Amino acid sequence: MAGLKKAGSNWVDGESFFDREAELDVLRERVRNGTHTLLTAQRRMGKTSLVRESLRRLRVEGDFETVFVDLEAADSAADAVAEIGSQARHVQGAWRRIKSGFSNALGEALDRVDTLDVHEVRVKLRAGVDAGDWRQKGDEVCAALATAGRPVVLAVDELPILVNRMLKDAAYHITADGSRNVDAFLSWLRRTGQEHRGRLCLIVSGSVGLEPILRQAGLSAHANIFSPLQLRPWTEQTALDCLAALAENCSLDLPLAVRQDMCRRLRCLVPHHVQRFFDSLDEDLRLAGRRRAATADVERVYRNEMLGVRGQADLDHYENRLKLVLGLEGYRDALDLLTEAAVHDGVLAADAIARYAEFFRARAADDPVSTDDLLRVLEHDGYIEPHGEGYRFVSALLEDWWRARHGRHFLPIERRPVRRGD
Amino acid sequence: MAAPVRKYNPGFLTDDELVASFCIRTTEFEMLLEALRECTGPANQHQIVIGPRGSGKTTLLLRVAAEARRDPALAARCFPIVFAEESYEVSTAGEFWLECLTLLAAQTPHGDDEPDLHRTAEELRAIRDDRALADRCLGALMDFADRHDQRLLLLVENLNMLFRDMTDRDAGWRLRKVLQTEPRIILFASATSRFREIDHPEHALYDLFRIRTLRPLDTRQCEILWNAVAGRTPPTATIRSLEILTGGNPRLLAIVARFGAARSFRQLMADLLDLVDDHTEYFKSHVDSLAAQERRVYLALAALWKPATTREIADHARLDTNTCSAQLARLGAHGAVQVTGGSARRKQYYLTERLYNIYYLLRRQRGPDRLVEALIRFMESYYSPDDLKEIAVSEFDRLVEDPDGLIQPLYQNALEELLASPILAPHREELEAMRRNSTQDREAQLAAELLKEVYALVAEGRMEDALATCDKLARRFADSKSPIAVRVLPTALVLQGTILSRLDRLEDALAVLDLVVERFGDSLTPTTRRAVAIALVNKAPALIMLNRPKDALAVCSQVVARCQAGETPKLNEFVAQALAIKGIALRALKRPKDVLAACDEVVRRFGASETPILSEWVAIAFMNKLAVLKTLNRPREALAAYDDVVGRFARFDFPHAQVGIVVTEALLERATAIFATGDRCACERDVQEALSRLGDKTPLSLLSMGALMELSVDIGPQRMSELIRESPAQDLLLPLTTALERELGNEPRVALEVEEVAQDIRRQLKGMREKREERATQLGN
Repeated sequence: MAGLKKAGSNWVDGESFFDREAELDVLRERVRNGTHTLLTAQRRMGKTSLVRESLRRLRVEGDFETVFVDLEAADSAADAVAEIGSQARHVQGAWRRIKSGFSNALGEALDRVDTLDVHEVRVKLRAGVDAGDWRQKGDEVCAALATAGRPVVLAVDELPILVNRMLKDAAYHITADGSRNVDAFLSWLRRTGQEHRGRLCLIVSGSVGLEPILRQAGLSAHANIFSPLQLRPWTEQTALDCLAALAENCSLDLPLAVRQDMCRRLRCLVPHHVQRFFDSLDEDLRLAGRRRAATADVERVYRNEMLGVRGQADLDHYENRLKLVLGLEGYRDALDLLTEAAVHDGVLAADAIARYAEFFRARAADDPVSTDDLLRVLEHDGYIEPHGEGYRFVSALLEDWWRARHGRHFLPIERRPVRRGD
Repeated sequence: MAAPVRKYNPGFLTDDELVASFCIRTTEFEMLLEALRECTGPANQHQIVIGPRGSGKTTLLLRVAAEARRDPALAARCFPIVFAEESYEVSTAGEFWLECLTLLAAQTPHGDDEPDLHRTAEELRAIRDDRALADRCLGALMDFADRHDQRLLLLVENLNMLFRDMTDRDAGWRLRKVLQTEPRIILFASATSRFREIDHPEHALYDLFRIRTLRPLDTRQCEILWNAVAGRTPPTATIRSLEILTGGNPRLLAIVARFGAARSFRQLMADLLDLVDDHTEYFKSHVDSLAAQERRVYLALAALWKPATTREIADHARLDTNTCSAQLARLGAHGAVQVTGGSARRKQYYLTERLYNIYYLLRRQRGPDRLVEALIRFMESYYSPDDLKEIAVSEFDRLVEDPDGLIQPLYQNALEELLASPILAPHREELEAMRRNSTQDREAQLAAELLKEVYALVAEGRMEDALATCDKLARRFADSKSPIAVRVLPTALVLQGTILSRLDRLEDALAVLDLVVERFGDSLTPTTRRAVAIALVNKAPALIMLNRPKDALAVCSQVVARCQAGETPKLNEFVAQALAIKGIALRALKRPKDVLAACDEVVRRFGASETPILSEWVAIAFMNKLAVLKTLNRPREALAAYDDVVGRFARFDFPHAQVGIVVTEALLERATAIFATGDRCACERDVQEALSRLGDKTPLSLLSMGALMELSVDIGPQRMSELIRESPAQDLLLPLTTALERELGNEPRVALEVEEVAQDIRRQLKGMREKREERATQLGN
C-alpha cells in the first residue's frame, strides 16, 4: 500500500485524499445530472476535502469548469457576489463578461486586472457592488458563468457562516433586518440555481449545519432546491487501510492488532478522529524515541490525548451543536439522556427513556421538545443509534468523552425523585 | 559544547548562535519541520505550539525560522516572517496583514527591481476600511510570494493574546478563510495556553491548527540543557530534583543551571526576581481568571510547592476532599495543574506554570523561605561537601555587595540555610570565622570604594549621581554596628548634606546635617568629632542662605566652643571657618563693626598660618572685610587691607581657588584705588598682575568682573583691550574684549552668544559712565 501523508486540520485533495470513492461517484453523477447538492455531515467528516477533490477530478476530466468560493469572511450578499466574481477569474469566457460588467468599478485597473492578485481583484469588484445592486451584479456574474464554454460547478463553502452572520446582531440574536436580508439572498441563490440548471451546478457545504440555522429563522424552505448528501463515517476496513498508509509514510511499525484496537476504541470512524489518533500516537512514540506501537501505547494515547485536554476541545462541538439545534431547554434534556447512556456503558435503556420522558414533562417549561423529538435529533445527527429496545452511543470516543466530562456528579434517573406537574 | 543558552531573549541570537545553542525540543522541531516540508499542496497544515511561559515556544519557532533560511530546499520555497513577541498594534484582520507586510519589508533587503515594500506598507496604512486594507495587504504579500516563488511562513507569537486584543469580532473568520484557501500563507503560531478561538466550536480558529503541546522537559532533556548551560553533567541521582524544582521548565532550568555555572546565589535571586517581575501582570491575570474555589485550590497547591495529594491540598485549602478533587479536575482540564506522580488512587498534583509558583512564593510572607529551602535541598544533592564549602566561601565575598530590594534578604537567607546544611557541619566553625573576617574586609573595601566614587563624581560635577552613591553608602551601613560602619556612616551623611547644599536643596541638607549632630554629637572618637564639626560648620552657610543669619551665628559659636575644647590642629580649620562665616552672618545682620571685629579675629588667630585651608578662610575673612570697608567708604583702610592681602598671599601658589580669587579681587580693587591717586603705571601693573592670575585655577568672580569694567572706563577701552589680549585670560574675557572692540568702533566676529553678553557689558559700561558723569556734575555743582 502506498504511504499517506498526515492530513492535519486543513482540507486535502490529490494524493493526500483517502478513499470516499463512492461519495465522489455520487457527486460526479449529481453534477452531470445538474442536481444541486447540500453536503451534510458531522464536523470533521471531510466535507470540504470531498468537494475540493471532486472539483479537482472534474477539472482533470475536462467536462466542467469549477469555481470554489469560501464565504467565511463574507458579511453580506454583496461580499458573496464579489467573492464569486473574483474566484471566477479562470473561467474561460465568463471572466471577460464579468470584467465588462464591473468596468466602472475596475476603472483604470481594467487593462491590468488579469495581473492582479485575487485579493486585489476582490477589492476592486467589491467596490462595484452595494446593498442596492448586489442582485443585479450577482445575476450578471452567474449569467456569465452559465454562458461559459463549459458548464460550471460552483461550490459554495461556509454558506451557513455567512447566513448566521447576516441573521444575527452582535449579541447573536436574530434581527428582523437580518432575517429579511437572508431571505433575499437565499431566494436569489435558489432562483439562480433554478434559472441556470444544467449550466451552473451548486454544491453547498459548511462546517456548521445550514438546516438548524434556517429552522431558527423560519426560512427552511430555501434549502429545498438542494438535494442533501450525507457523508458518513469510514468503514473499519477503510480506517485500517488509512492507518496502514499513514504508518508507512511515517515509518511507524503499526501492527494490524494495534490498528484494530484503535478502531475499536473509536467505533465511529470519523476520518479526522482516525487521523488524529494516529497523529497523537506517532507523536507520542517519537517523543519517546520509539517507532513500534503496541496496544499499551494505544491505551495510553487514547486516555491522555484523545480524552485529554486536547481531545476535549476536539469534541466540544458535539455538545455545542445541541444548543444550536435544540435550544437551551432541549439541550438540557439531551444532556441528561446522553449522560445517562454514558454512565451505563453507552447504552440508553428503554426503561430509562420512559422515566426521563416523565421527568422532562414534570420540569418542562412552556415549549418543551418532546423526548421522541430529542431522540430523533440525536439519532439523526449521529450521537446515538438504535440498540435493542433502546439506544447506544454511535462513537465510543464520544461516549468515553461524554462520561469523562459529565459523568462525575451525574445522578442517574433511577435515583432521581420524579416531580409531577400540577 | 553547545553555545551559551540565553535567559529570555532568543530573539537576540543570530541564526548560527540559535542553531548552536538549540539542544532540547529537538523532536518537536523535527515534527514542525516535517509539517513545513509537507506544505507543498493547495492547502497548508497550520501549526500552533502551546506551552506555558518559559517552555521554549519562542526558541522553537525561531529555530524553525532559522532552518527555513538555512536549509537550501526550504529556503527556496519558504520565506519566514517573524512577528514580535507582542503584536500590540494589531486589533483587526487588516492590521494583522499590515503588520505582516511591514515585517516583510523590514526583513527583506530591497532589490533594485523590486517594489519598495516599506513605501507600499506606508501607503496602505492610510486605508481606513479594514476589509480593503486586508485585501490590499494580502495582494502585496502574494505578489512578493509569486515573484520569489516562495510561500510565506508566518511565525506569530502569543496568538492567544493577539486574539484577546482584537476589536474586530470577525477577524478570526477572515483569518481562517485566508489560511484555508491561500496556499501561499503558512502560519506557525504559539500560545501560552489553549484559548477560546481554537477550542470552541463556534469560534473561527477551531480545528484549524495542528496543536503541538510543549510538555515539561523530561529527565534526559533536563540533563542535556543543564549540560549546555552549566558545562557539566549532573549526577543522575540529582537530575530528578532539578526536574521537580523547575517543573521541567527550560527557562527556569537555565537560570538554575547558570547558578551551577557561576555559583552565585545573588545572581540567581536577581534572575528569579527579574523573571517574576517581567511576568507579574501575566500571573495576576492568570489567577484572576480562575473561579473563587478553583483559585483557593490552586493557591494551596502553590503554597505547598511540592507534588501534593488531594488530601494534602484539601487540608491546606480547608476544603473537603470531594470539593477539592472536583476543583483539581477542573484545573487539570484548563491545564493549570498536572498530575506528576503518585499512584492511580493517590495522584500527586503540581502547578503546570512553575514560574507562577515561584512568583507566588516570592510574594508571600515566609514563601521565599520555601524557595530557598528547595534550592538548598537541590544543592545538597548536586554538589559535593567540598563544592558546597567553596560556594559558601565565594558567597562571603559577595555578602556586602550593594543590596537591592528583595534580593538581599533572600540571599542572606539562602546563605544561612547553606551554612546550616548538615553536610557542611565539619566545616562550620572554619566557615563562620572566614565569614566574619571576610565580611569586615569586604565592608572596609566596599566603603572605601564607594567613598572614592562619591569624591570622583563630585569632582566631575555629577552631583545627583554622587548623592545617589552617598545614599547607597548611608543605607548600606545605617544599621550595621561594625567598626567600619561607625567610621563610614557619619562621613557618608556629611557628604550627603554637603552635596545637597551644593544642589541648593538647603532644607534637605540641614535635615541630614542635623541627623549627624544628633546621632554622633556625643561621640568622642576623632573621626566622628570631626564629622560633627563639619556638619555644624556646613550648616552655617545653609542657614545664611535660608535667611536665618542669627541661627547661623549660634551654630558658628557652637563650632568654636566644641573645637576649641580639643585645640587639636586638625580642628582649627573649623574654628577658622566658623569665625569667617560668623563675619558673613554679621554682615547679613548689617552689623559692620562686628564684621570687621570677626574678620580681624580670624586674621589675628590664623593669619600667620601657611596651611592652605586656614589661609583660605583668612582670605575669605579679608574679602568680607574689604566689602564692608568699601560700603563704609573708608578708602584708606581699604587700600591698606588690599596691600595686606596682596602682601600675604600673592607670593604663594595656593591650591584653593578662594585665595586666588581674593588676591585677584584685591589687586583689581587696589588698581582702581591707585588710579584715583593718578598713578596710572602702578594701576596698570596691578591690572596686569590680576589678569595673569585669571584662568584655570582662579575663576572670574563677579567682583573682579565689576572691577575690570570700572577699570575699562578708567584707563579706556583701547588700553584695557590690549592688556587683556596680552594676558592668559583673553579667552575667558572674550565678551569683555568684544564689548571694548565695539566701543572702539571695530566689528569683531564672534559667536552669537558672546555677542549677546558683549552687548550687556556695553550697556553696563554706558551706565557706569553715566553715573560717573552724574557724580562729576554733582561735584561740579
